[in-house]
Amino acid sequence: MVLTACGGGSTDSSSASGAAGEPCTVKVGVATGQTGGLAYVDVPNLEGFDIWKEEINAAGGIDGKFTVETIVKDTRSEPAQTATVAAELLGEGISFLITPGDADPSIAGGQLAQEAGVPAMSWFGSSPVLPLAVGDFMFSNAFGDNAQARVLADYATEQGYTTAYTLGSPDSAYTSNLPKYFATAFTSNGGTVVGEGTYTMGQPNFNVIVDEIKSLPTAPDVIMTPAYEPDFPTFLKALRGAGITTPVLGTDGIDSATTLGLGEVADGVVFSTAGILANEGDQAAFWTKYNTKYGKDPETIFAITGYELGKILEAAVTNAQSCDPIPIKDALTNLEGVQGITGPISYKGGDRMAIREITLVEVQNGERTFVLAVAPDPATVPPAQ
Amino acid sequence: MTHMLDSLASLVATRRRRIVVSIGGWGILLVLIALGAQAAPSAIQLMVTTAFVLLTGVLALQIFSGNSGILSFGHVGFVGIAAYTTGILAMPPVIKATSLPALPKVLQDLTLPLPLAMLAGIVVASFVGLLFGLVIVRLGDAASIATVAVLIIIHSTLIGADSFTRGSQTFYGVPRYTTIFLALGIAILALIAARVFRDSRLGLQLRASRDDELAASSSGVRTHWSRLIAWVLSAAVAGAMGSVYAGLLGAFSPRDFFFTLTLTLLTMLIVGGSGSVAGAVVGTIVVTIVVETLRRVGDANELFGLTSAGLAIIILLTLYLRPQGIMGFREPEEILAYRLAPPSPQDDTTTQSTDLTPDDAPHVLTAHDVTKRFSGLVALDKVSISVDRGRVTGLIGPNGSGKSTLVNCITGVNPADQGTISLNGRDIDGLTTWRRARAGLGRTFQNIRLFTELTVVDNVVVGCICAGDSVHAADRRARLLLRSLGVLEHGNRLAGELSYGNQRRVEIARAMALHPQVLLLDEPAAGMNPAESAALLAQLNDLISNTGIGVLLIDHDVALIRTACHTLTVLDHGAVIAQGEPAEVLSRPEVHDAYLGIAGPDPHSTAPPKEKESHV
Repeated sequence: MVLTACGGGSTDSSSASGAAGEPCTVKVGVATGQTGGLAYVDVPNLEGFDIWKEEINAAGGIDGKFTVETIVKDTRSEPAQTATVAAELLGEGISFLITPGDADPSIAGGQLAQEAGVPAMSWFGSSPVLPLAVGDFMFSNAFGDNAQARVLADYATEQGYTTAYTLGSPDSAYTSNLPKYFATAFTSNGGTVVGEGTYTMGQPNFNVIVDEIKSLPTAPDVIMTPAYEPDFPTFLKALRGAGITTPVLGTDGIDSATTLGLGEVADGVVFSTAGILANEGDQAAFWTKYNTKYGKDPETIFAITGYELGKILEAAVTNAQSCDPIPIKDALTNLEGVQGITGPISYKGGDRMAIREITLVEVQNGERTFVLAVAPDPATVPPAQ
Repeated sequence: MTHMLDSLASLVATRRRRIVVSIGGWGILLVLIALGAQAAPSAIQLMVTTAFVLLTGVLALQIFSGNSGILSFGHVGFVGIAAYTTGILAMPPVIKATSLPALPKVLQDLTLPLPLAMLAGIVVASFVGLLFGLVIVRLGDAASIATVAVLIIIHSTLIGADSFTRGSQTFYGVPRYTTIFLALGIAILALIAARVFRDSRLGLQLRASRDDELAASSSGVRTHWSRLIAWVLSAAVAGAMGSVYAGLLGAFSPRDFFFTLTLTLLTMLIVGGSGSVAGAVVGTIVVTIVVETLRRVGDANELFGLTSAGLAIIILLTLYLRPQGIMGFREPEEILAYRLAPPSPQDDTTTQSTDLTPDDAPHVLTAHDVTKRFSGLVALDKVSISVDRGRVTGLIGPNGSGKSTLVNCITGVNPADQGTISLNGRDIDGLTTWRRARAGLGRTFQNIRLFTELTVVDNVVVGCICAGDSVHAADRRARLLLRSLGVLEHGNRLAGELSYGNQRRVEIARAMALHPQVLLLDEPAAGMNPAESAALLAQLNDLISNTGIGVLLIDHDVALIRTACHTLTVLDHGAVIAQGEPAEVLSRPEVHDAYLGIAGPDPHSTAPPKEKESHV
């Protein structure tokens, strides 16, 4: 089947049903970075998604009648390869495309889906620019970095902090934008950013930055940074080593065993994340299924978000009562309150980034302690840059 | 059959025809691939379009790395610069307002037609290439490592210039204008650039310097200059890749122009063979086919690492089985020319002529009071020697007596500390080796130094080019020179394949190509039997009488020296111990003591303490 090169028209999908509500197969194309730099996000997401797929097909398909079939292709975490793979998948008449957990390759693949009129969703690309750059067929399963920053800023304000210092790095979109989103949100709450530091990813020594913080005319109430390994531990040790006890806010990049293993210096650090990975409560059933299928415990929250992407698709197809791409896309746009493992997920009223709960965690004695979980109102989230 | 071979042979008989055949052949193949892909599903079209874009980059690398022998890791930086430049200029203002709000007003409002935007990308990449090139070409062995720095500097700059590039964030909003035929057109332009450059004056000089930098500069090659031009040209072609890559991806960020893409392009070039344009094309095709096949197998069986493992295996296999890549250093049409058409002596009776000035100054080369020290050791102590027009000056001395040091001082390889050297009445002390060569100083080396991966003809052509010939004229004159030394029949072979004696002759022909005033022959008869050395001597005598050049002959073969030389200088411990008529000098007791009287024969010498019979 030859794909039309342009125009947002629908593809005459071979898997499409005739009339609405008739049983049919939802063909899902998965363009995923199974190898390369994005494997750490994409591989566990696919594992989680596969658990959902087996579960739903065992139940006779979505809504008992729409079976799910996946075609998985490796993108090697490269944008050009993602485009090629996406074109192949679209050529096979898929109704839904899953793209890697990062903006560049997701945009490269998503542009083709947009042209073909097939909805696409990124595993967990958190840059809010991602759907904007592609168009109305592009979604992400992740909350935006701007939403994450909003939750952190609101928490800071609630704690009574009025002045903040941000530390970012121009070396990645994640580390450069999160401090800016935080500053916007914190300022809108009435707070003041008294200093903005920058670091180079992988820099061996943070003493200059610590000195800069010490010599600020106004000492900040709180320090916010999206730095992660190896920068976050280096920075934190230098900061605490210099006797600065100012509270530190981090982001989901530090949701790792390394942070928990830092010992006393990490005590009191609060960071935002998609959820706490723990074999209890709503996650317990998933842990059992994961362990049965893969013979090990899940190692990252991304296994759970992959499963949740399945739940999102399930809700959209149930609402659309169709395997056709356009009704699925329309249903996705209007989704509200899909019950995921980490909380409800919505798209209605947003910018096609997932509106989902963001959890704040505090590190205490090498353990994650739940602080709060909230889905920020899209209207209050700083605009994507 | 014979007829077919004949017409095939005539198709590749001259350099120009080979260029046309090469560009035509590969161009038609690429067009056919494009036409075939156009009828295929869009995924195949996209794959072929991507391959054409990558081919452009591989050809860019071939132009510089293939011809200079310096592997470049920096060219992907130029790809990035052009991609961003083209992207900014091709993006509609309405999108720029959202995606690049901090862009200066002038650029906000400026949207160029696509060809101009692409051209601007190429121009900016070439300019940045020039700035880096000025440094890179001077670095010698460190150049390759320095190109890594080029990549890192450009990468950091792209991240830092965030009002133009959105920093490390995704740069989006570029119209996706790169169709399969646009990518094809650019790839063919790159193919033409690479193939024409290969056989251009600079391309030949650069390839000579790749094979042997010292021999190249001694043949008059401006190594730095030819490297610089190749570097800038290849930066421009890399820019051409960037200008189509931008329109292929539509959205990208600086890390898309970093090590991953660099490794992709280098893999293609190394597998195909960096030494030829054919290698770049074949490498791109082979790697693409292997990757696509493995990827399909891997995806179907959920063996996701298969592609990377496969790529690693092809590189290892290539390096193990064919380190020069599938196609090696020679273009297929060059191999065909060698197989089918040995160069024929053209019907041209003009003989080698040298523009000698009238015979007013008898000394054509004079070294006066030359002194050279190596950290305290006096290697040459006020040595004076002169070479006369139409005559042979011999230079002998035991090992370590300073003969090679004197040659290095004269040729400028290792300039003298004191003293003057003049060529044809002109002081050449301050000149670099290649300038001295072009001023009329031809030389051969004790251990033959030919450009082994160049054909015999091209070895001599390099000399002719450095004497000022056009490539076409050089081809003609090189053949005449090779004929006069009796090695023309081997003209299309690689110089390294020839027998020892014939390599000597090619080396002399290459030196003669410079229209030299003086020929410096460093042990030309080393390794030859008496009959061979006699034949060589006869050829030398012909050359001297035909052209009137002066010869400085360094040899251990006393029989040869006695027969060939008009005057003889003997060096010992860096000083001249005797100078004069050969027979008389050789009979002096101090010469006998210093040189001939030594008990053990010099291991590098063919001269026994006793004189050999000579039949000349």
